[in-house]
Amino acid sequence: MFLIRIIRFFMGYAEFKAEKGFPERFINLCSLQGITLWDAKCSEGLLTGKTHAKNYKKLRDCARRSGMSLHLTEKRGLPFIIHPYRKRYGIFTGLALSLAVVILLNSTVWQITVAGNDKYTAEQILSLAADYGVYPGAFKKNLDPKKIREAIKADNGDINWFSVNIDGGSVFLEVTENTGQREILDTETPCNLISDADGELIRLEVYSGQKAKSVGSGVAKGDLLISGVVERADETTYFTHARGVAVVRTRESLEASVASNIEVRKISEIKKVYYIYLFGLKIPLGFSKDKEPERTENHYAVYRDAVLPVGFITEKYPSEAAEKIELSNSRCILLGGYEAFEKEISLMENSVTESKKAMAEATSSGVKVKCDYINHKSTGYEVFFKVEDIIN
Amino acid sequence: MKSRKEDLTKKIADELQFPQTAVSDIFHIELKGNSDATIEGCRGILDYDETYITINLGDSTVRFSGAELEISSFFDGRAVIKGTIASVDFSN
Repeated sequence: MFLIRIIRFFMGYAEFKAEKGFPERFINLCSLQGITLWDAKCSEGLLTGKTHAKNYKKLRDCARRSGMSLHLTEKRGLPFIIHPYRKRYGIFTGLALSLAVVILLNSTVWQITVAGNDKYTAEQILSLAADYGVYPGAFKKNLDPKKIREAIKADNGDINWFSVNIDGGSVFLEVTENTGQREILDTETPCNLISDADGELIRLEVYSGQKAKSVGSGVAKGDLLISGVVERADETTYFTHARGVAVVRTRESLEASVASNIEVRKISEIKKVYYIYLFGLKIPLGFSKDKEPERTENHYAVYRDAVLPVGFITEKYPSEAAEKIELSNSRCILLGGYEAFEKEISLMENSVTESKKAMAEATSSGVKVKCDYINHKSTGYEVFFKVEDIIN
Repeated sequence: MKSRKEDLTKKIADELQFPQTAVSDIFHIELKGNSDATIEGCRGILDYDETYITINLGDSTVRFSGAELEISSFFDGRAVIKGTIASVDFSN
């Protein structure tokens, strides 16, 4: 009933009263002519009722034929409300525009959420999805989740599953990545454990195999630490996968040189280009550059937790100029220390430092930093062998 | 002849357990309490007043009596009567 009232309101209707004559005949004639009447009340020869606005003129003929006197009592509904404003085109233009904007905004993607990613960042997934047409501002009717999913899966072997779920203005991307096959450690094949460091053996724990060196002895790279060929007390031999822990005390050093005269690139000026961002559309507020920006800052409007595809973007283009500068000794040492520290990271892999000695000396071109270390280094790599080779 | 045809249709509908309204143009009246009546198969209004409404159903007439009766809608052979219905009388 409510829906019918809404329709009647939008179509407009007229309230009338008819007196004298024959109300029954009037109603029958209306029915025959296909005129819809409702809320028809008849009391002491006075008939009141309602009909659609477009049908009111037809009622006159029915009233004349039934001998009734017809009077319009009220005009109701939207057509009669807007009738006085019919020449105010601005109102209608505004209404049409706002309706168009609502329809447009309702048919586009506002927000994209990524879930299930591990190896790839959300930005990478969003960039990938954008290549397949899923981006803020994209028209929802152009998105075919099944096609997008299949295309992304076919083109990207690292992605096992990619689902595009559209819910209103939000798109949820669910990703399942291919994490790769887990490496299966071989603990069965016979092998030896060989040293990959020079120094003094300070710890050797054998879990499987036969000890080939004793603690306190010197070892060189390539020396056998634990043998996979084990001899029993009864002089029989068996082959095993040598396993254990070997720690060697090593002496290591590294050098880092820094020239006092260096060329640096100084930022002389940062040019900014501003853009208005509207549903994936970047509208530049100035002349955009051909080259890639050094840095981009995005400022999007946020409503509750949702990031809206509306905002402004700043692209920064720094201008650099080369300049030669003379570093002081202390600065050279500082830079040398930093360089040495970077080298130290790779040197210290699987190692614990027992002692460290660092020296800086001035050279003709700058400063040289030298570091000497005594490290405890975990060593030993597996070298597999064939039993047949040993027997023969 | 028409009467025989209608009888036959009625018999077939009875045997097949079809509702009669589905196989013939028989009128259909539905009452919701005593305040709302829907009549399908109306041929016209014969009498209309606050206290009674008589409707032509073709071969017969039906008269709704009561108080504050009104025809809520009447279109395409379908009438809706609202008000306080006290009695429904049929006559041929």
